[in-house]
Amino acid sequence: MRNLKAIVAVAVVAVMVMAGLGILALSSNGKQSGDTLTVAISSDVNSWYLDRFPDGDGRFVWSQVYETLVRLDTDLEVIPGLADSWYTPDGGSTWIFNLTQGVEFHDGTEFTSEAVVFSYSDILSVKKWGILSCINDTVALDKHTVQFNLKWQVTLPYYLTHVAWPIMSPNMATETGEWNGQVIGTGPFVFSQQVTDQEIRLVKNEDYWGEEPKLDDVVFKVVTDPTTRVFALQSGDVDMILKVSENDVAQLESTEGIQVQEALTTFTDFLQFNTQDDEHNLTTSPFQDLDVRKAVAYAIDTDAIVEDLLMGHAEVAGGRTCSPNMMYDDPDLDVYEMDLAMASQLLNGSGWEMGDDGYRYKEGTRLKASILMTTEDAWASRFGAMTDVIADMLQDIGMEVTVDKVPTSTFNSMESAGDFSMILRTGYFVWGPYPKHYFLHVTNGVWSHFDNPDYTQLVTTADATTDPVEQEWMYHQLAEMVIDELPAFYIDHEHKIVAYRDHVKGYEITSEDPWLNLDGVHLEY
Amino acid sequence: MWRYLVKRILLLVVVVWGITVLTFAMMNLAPGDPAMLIAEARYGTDLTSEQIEMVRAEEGLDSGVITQYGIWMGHLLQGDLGNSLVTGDPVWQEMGERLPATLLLAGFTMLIVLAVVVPLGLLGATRSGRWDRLVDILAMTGISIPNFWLGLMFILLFSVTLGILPSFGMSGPLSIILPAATLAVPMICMDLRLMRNSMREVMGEEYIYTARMKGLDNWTIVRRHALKNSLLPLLTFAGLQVGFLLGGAVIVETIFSWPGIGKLMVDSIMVKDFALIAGCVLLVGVLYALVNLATDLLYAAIDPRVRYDM
Repeated sequence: MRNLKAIVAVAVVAVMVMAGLGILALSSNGKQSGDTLTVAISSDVNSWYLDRFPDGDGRFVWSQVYETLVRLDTDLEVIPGLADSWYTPDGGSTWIFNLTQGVEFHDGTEFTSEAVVFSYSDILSVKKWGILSCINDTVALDKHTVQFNLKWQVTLPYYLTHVAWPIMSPNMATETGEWNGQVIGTGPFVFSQQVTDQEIRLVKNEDYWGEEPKLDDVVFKVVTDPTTRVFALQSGDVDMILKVSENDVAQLESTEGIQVQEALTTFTDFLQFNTQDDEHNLTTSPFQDLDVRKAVAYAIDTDAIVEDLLMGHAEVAGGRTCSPNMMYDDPDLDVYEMDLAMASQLLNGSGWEMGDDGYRYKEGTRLKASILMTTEDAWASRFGAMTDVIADMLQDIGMEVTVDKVPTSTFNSMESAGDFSMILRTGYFVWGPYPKHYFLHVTNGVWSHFDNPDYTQLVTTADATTDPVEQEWMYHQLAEMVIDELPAFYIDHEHKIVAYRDHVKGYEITSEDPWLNLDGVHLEY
Repeated sequence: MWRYLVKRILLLVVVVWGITVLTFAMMNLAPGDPAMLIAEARYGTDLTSEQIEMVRAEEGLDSGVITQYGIWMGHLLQGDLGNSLVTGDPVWQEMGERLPATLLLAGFTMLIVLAVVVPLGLLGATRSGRWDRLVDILAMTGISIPNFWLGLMFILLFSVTLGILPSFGMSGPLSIILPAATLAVPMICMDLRLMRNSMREVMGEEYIYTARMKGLDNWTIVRRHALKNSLLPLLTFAGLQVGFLLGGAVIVETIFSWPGIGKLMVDSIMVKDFALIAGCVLLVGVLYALVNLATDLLYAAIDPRVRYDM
């Protein structure tokens, strides 16, 4: 009896190990061979269908499988994509797109107007809200011409460059519009296989309408930990890693056999102020007072943040909302430079007097503030260091600053409850050169904590203006308004950093995020 | 024996019920609006409050905590754990995809641990002095090394420098070695000391003296008399460690991109995916309780003095 139990115990362990080894054998794919590019990404693709945007790095995978009507080149200039030309007959209320002909979906069906109407149809959530809510309906004028009727005027081509709402085949939907499990795009690579949280395998689209891809396959490996991604590149387990941390650049550049490219992106890190005293406000933010906001802008040494903390892998913004490579950036804009005397003067003027303990007080209350950040997005490591440094810098002007580094769920509830005085974030409403991100600070926006009717009106008007000269003037006004009114203090313009092995040839980094440019990429051992 | 088994299984049911209650209580005490998180996961960051309220109604999040718990328990009793609030896939399916990886990692780690600890423990039974100090140093070092650091150092050494093992993923038989070794090192260090102490205690027992006086050689004494007796505390501890491996190997799973249940649980906690969290906690809790039961039953197999007649 006793022997039997021991045998059973050993058998259980053995079965467990055998079952596991079986799974390993099944999922084993051995060493990659031929022209297979292996790219490490930080998160899996959690959606393949238009009713839900893919999170995080999943969009890099989408950018190989799906395509948009309008594309951007490496300098962020608008170029034809699945549409080869477009125009507006009425100043931006209607847009007509002439589709590129001779394009086939991955299932062999022809790309026609029907797919465009499907991709922006009412059944799919993507059109119902958010940025594309300006679209009223989409009408096929003929097989290769589509008309977008808008609820209000916008420069639609810029909106349609975002990889998050590309063209998908109507064959991906069931009769009721639900996803049927197929992935059918027009891009240079075809979906082949996905192993949850492990890898996504794409194969070359032999019938691609554009320049023929030089790679046979692309395998995206999901590697959550940023340090492991760097090691995986160094060990040769992957050929390329995306979104490299600023801290890892020097080490990677000095590693033999590894190349690093970086480019200015359209993302700008910003410190958003809670300027509102709403009913949910759990902690009183001192930033209802414009002068206190300005004191913060003068107290932050953005040069030190860029040069010392980010090791030069960013550009100083000093309050500038637009990255220099974005449309309507004003190179002559007067930005903030660190000036502690000015910061002190502003705080004194607001009644915050310096106490003996190094903190400022007004009517017996200490000047306190908090910086909120999420520990779970792609920028968490950069933000972690930045928030600590900013808290230290603000201490110098007598402000007691605590940093709340919390998971996204806590972050969201604290933000919606108004339980913060500053938030460090980046990239909201940013995907291409068009400065849609001014929209973040409009009155009553979900992520806005600023209420200025003039600002909101100007954002709405600027967005609806299609004359480039007028639009540029308005966006310059808005840039100045952000500097003067400080709904947020824009700190630095981000650099995108990609590292890859020497045998990866022909890669050219793009400013656009999240887009992976594999045009002309091939392997040479 | 059978009565004992039935009694333990009934107790298990109570434990599982306790786990479900605690999970729900803690989830509701934690901050964060699940409706908003789900809406964001589904539709992106540019949300309207109408969308959030729509999700709240769709997912039944607008009803009270007790109602939500009642609905979930009702489904559970029919074997239905519901669907993930974020992906919409059945919870069973999500967990089923991850469980084999966790079981494999746990099983392989335990094999490494036992394969190292038992022979070294036997070796130590006949030695002292320097051996004792070595075990102490090893134990202290092993316990003090943080898992994430050890894992990264293993990758640096075996993948980057030597290039002999894969740095991440579950992509072939070799890929399990580094994560399992990372988990095994601190466990070996802890178990080794336990085994050493236990062995030393047993070797001081009178029946060992008797055996010696009978003229048995050292190896026969260890093999026939000391080993089984000294294994009991190790077995208890190993049972607890399996529980840890099933649910707590999160850091190692993250570093090595090992697609196990621990990582799934943490990911679901981050987005407050109630259904998935409850499913994962329930699964890990049940596995933990089962492992403890198995440990107790193994006692009887190893030690004939242990009888479950109550």
